[in-house]
Amino acid sequence: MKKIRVLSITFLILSFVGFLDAAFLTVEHFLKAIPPCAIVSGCSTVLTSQWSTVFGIPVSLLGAIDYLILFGLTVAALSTGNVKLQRLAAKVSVVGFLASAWLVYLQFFVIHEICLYCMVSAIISTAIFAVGISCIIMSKNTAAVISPEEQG
Amino acid sequence: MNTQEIYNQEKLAREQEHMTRERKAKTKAVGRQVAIWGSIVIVLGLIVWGMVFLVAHYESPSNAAAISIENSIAADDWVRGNRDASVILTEYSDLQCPACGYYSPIVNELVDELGDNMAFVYRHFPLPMHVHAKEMAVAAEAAGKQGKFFEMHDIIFNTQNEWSNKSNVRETVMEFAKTLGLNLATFEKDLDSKELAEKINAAVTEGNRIGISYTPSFFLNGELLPNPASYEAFKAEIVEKIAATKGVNQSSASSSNEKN
Repeated sequence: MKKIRVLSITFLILSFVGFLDAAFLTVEHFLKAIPPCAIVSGCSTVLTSQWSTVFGIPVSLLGAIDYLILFGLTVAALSTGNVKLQRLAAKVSVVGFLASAWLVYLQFFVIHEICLYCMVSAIISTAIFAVGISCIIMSKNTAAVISPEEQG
Repeated sequence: MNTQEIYNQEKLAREQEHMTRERKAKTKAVGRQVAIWGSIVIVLGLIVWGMVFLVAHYESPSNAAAISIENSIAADDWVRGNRDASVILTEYSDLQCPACGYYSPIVNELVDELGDNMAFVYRHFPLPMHVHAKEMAVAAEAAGKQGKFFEMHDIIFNTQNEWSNKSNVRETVMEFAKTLGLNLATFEKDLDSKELAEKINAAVTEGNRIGISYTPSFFLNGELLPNPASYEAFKAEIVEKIAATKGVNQSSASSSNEKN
């Protein structure tokens, strides 16, 4: 199905960009002991807050792993033409979406500072979730195949 | 051979050919999968490696490269360690900045360990987005008037998480003053004094003039020192500077003299 393939590729690109964003923050976390407070950005406040780690694991690393899983599942779905894998990825994307919603809430109402990188990640997670939902709806009534060539 | 046999043989050959073709197709598909996943792993690996490299080597806070300050201690500076040492570490700091709070115990440890051969100078640079930073700076100054600047500075940094999100910190500051055994009436009067508010404002103006764009900003003998990633890295920078200046300047290492 052409349309599902387009959605899959969108899903793939979004999860890749999300991975880049989260991986960057993770690298920052481990290399810079602490980001300084700069006049222009609230990132250091957000990234050093008590909510930036869960049991000692940086949230950005969890995000990077989440995006990597979504990316991997989508690659598997596209390369084998198995739409079930794409639907699984769409279901997994709920986790990132809910986590992002929680983190955005923390930034606005608890920390009172906004970190651009975190907001970008939240927007990407939301977009992935939306694309995932569309995938599920569209694939419901079609054969379990995305690839236009090969199987059919 | 009858026709039946020939037919069977042909059928067998056809089946075999079909199987080989299928196997070939399968191998091709597996090869394709290996190629896809292999290149993904390589590309992602390269990207992460590149990020690590860039962050570690190139990323320094913007427009911070060229700034420097005078390598001296002013009369009204707050100093720890040896005032007469040939190595001066100056920090422009914001009492509400988490990064400054992170570095505070590190700097204290440096002073404890290397204090005979270095002076540590603390200067205020409260950032506009930290709503309590100026008030805390004034509180530290007010404690300083009673000889306990760094004691107040330590309490403020150590409890940063507890008061940063409060809407009002006057009570918090008064608690600190009580803990330090300060004269509370004098302390409270100093909190509202125009003199201290102006002192902090002047420090902000001076920081802006220098071009401070982030806190904490450290200067080692007047030169900007990009924030070291760990205590060990920080110590290495200072030890090196001490060694470099020792040969040139045999300063009389007087005992630690803290301005209190």
